[in-house]
Amino acid sequence: MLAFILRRLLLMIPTTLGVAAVVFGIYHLAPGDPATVMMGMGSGGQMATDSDSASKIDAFRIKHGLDRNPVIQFLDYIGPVNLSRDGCSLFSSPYGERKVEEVELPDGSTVPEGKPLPIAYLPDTPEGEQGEMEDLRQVLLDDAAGDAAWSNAVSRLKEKNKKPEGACLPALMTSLQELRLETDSRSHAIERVGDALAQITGHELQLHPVRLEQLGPGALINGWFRWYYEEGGGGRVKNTGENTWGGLLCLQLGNEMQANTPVAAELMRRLKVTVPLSLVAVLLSYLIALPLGIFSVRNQGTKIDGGLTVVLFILYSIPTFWAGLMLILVFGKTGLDLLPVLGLHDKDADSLSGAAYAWDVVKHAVLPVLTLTYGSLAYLSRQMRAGMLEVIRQDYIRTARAKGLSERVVVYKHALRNSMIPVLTLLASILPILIGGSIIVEKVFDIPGMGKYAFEGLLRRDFYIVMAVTIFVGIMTQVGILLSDITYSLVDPRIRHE
Amino acid sequence: MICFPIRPTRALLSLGSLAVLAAPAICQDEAPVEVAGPGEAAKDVFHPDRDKDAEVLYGGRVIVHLASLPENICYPIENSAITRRLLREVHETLMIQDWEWHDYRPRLADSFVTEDLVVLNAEAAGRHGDGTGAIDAKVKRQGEVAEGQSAQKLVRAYYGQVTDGGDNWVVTPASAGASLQVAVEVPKSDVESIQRGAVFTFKVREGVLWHPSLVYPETHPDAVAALDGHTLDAADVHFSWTIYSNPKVDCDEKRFQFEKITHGEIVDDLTVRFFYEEQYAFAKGTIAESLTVLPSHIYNLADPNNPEHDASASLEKQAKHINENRHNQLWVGLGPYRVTQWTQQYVQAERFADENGKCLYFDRDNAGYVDTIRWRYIDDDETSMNALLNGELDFFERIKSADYFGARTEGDDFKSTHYKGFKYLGTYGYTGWNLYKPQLKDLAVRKAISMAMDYEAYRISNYKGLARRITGPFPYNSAAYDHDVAPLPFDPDGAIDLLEDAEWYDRDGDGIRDKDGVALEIDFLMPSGNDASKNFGLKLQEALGDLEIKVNMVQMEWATFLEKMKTRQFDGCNLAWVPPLESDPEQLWHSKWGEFDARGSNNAGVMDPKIDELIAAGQRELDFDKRQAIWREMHRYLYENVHPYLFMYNVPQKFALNRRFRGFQTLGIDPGYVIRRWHLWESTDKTRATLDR
Repeated sequence: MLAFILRRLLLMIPTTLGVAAVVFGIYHLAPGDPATVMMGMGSGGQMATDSDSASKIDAFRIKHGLDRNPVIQFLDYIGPVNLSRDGCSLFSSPYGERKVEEVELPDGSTVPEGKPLPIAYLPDTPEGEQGEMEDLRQVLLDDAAGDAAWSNAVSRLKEKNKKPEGACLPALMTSLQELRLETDSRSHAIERVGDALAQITGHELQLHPVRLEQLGPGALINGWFRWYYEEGGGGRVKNTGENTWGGLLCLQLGNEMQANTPVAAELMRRLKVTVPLSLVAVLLSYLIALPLGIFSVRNQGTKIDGGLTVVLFILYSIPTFWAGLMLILVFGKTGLDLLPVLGLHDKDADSLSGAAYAWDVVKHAVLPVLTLTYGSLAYLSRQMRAGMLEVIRQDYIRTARAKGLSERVVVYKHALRNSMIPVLTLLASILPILIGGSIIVEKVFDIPGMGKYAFEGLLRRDFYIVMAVTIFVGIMTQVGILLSDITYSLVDPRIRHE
Repeated sequence: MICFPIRPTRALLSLGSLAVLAAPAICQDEAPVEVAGPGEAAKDVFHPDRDKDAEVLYGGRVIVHLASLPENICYPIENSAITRRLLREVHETLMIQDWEWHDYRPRLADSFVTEDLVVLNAEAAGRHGDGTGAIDAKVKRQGEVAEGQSAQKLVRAYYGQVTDGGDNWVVTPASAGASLQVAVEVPKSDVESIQRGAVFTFKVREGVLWHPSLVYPETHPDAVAALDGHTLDAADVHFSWTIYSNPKVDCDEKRFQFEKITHGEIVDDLTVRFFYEEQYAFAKGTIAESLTVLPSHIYNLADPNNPEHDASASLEKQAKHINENRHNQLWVGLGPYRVTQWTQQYVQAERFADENGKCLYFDRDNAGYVDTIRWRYIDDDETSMNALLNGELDFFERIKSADYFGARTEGDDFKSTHYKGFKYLGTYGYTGWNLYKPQLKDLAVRKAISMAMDYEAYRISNYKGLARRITGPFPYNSAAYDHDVAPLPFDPDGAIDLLEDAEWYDRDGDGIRDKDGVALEIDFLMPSGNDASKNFGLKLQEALGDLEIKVNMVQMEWATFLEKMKTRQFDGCNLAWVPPLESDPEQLWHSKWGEFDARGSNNAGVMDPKIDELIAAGQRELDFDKRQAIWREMHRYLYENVHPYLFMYNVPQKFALNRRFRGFQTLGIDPGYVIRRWHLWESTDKTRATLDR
């Protein structure tokens, strides 16, 4: 038995990875992307001017690695090696935005140029090195600094650059990027930084005369950026190695894209709302459905059985959203005014004492639980009835009756256990429902649970939420199946998991 | 132009189910309101007891619906309309556009001075060295800016009030601590340009108290005493501007606005000066209202009063301190209400008062009446409606038409607790035509579509006459809207003539007009689940069918819809804009955002030199009336000569408010109401007659 459970648990790992791959694939194939959604989130969003929304979208993509190869993105998500910017230093990947472009000249020919971008100066340089690096950088930028100070700074930088932690190129590129706004007034500084780069790297920059004429010192900046992206190693993400391990296999679910808060924490908070509600609902439906099913069997063919069947079928057919709305109409202020209909707390819940607070929660939970229960209750009791009817026709039941056992003993001792199998199979599907929550019920009653979270994540195209929720539900489905397999062997001695 | 693209939600536009009903007289017991243009706004026009005298009472709580919960309310990093609405009550800006009269009035600013910038040309720069009162300034580079060249350039300049003195410009210092001590005369030959109104000097009010922090008592209990009684000063305002130049602060959406402020300086404790890169009509609004004043003692790590003070903090650390600050939710502001609770369900703000209940807000006449405002977040409109009916909400402004005219708000239960009304903002629905599509490139086609359907009848049948038909992109309530532009008439025969004159015939006999091998077939793109769009689309489909134009209805989920729109993969898209009362139209209509690859809001792809010209002229026109005249000209030109949209309707928002509240006014500026003007009028144990408890 233990070996069986262990084997099944191990099997869950590849299955879950498969689920992840499928969800990831669908996510990438589906139209729409989180950055665009973020720019126009319904009435809560605002679209600023173009330049600004475009740069915001780019920044968003880079921040969340959406500019990278999807395969890398997937591997990064799964782990265990962290491939993002602060991840394992062994793995680097290209910066999507650091590209060299061909600029067309008036004569039709083209020259390659790099676009100055804010270079990741700080993450690439260790904390201890930053102070001095900044000072040296400022010397190069200082128009008033003399030649001696300049050469001194350059030789210091050159010295530092020999060691990986002292790499000064990002700092110098940052300087160039800043100077691009003042190409006219700061041409001297631009040249000095350019000279410093030439000395430190030993690279001699070749500039096209036409571009020099067009841009002046700006051509120098673009030229150095081209070199930095193509030859200087600045075109790739150099991971800092701060967080070597990460991803799903390390049980890290990442951060929400917009809020930047951990998905795991939010997931826990939502589970605390959803699980108690669903647990009560599932327990209730089993507790009512099983006796109801047995009752039907014992009164098979009578008018009561017929009536019950009709009622249960009607219940089973009522859509949840409609039932929820009707319950609100009937029990809320618009109807009998018996129960609160929204959320899980009263608007004045803050001021309530312990017992009153608990009672308030119970009152608020009645309608959602009812809505969650009635459908599965109807379904389960039908299953119970069918299962038991089949068992009751078996030979050993006839034998038991022939032995003269009372109907009560026949039903509860001999038939019940065996007729439980189909109902237990359903347990497998109930666990994920329990965790996944019900989107509709949570929306109708305004309960901030898992279902609503999943829905919001989907609308926002938030990769981390969608992945976390689907994988979580996937795992729970597998656990549910395992649990029902185990319980089979408990109720049916013929089933053995060896 | 900052616009809020909104998905025409059911609450806004879903009126379709009523289309079959005859239009009854609207709201018999409600006074009609017409909020158009500046002017005093009447109170309680929809309140059933509006004729009764209402006692003005303080105290109580109001629960206002919130359709989406922002991550936080630090406006520089959380750029959403909702954030701004919340800040309207819990925070203040240097100046505010008056709710009723629409002019700018000082709030945090005690006074302000606008001065002109006299830009000297390069040859003359040397003659105006240090000691002459000239300064180094950055101004916007005029004309074509080469790729790789910066958009601003460094110049020598004077600032002050500039008058014409014949051969010279006379520059007179007008603000405190100005670089000029006395007036100077600058030869006109030395001057490259004069940028009017580009220098702003604000003196902030003295003694304006910051709200106390709710976070530091937890994290830095020892430092709290020192923060007590902290008041607003010039350094706060200056710091609030500097964060936009820190590239690590998550304020990319705002950065461009503030990069136009080239320099800021603290003149004295209460005075701060900002230099704008050029003469710009919206410069004052940017500094006065868009700049969110942040408490330096909370957000600035270099501020010695900050409990987390770190003089040598790197840009990165400083940015992180702003981006991830818990005060972004538990806001430390200057408004009459302070945020005291932030949960997943609601945000609560309570009166800013001391322990004895004495109001600490600086402007007692504007301190609001209720003691507590709770913004209750419910994302689903149907659920929100149920919350309203069940007394969970006092105010809800997204009532569907079906509910507004239907049984749910007509019953005695509802009427005993709430009343309903409607209000207009600049929101307008439109169908944008993609001018890159061959079948829509033709002005005649677009105009024919606007003549094909009886939009007036649809307005009456579908909107019960409440919506207003519009012809241009400016808010109907604003002075920029040209009410003299008449909509094209309903004239199917005229439409057919237009099409035939433009050589659109059915050449291949398939029942659809065509020209040069292009069939006149239009995909009508709309967000899925939107009944209003669908109903309108169906009507349009029917009307255009008679003109032998084929319309295919395409519904897309919101995220997909946006992507299609951004990448110009649509023919016609049905959407709504929510423009503020006055804003720069550049983002929506300038040709630079109309390029095929431009990812802007000019989704029709309008590229018209005349429009560009008008936009540029309007942007530089500082005189309000003249500027409005330019916008009106643009409105007319756009409708008559470009016709990029099927301009549809300015649809009112339908709201309900608890009858316990009086003082409600519908206003033209978003969100169209001010909570701090609402008050209770029937005394209970929670009410009192005075502001202080």
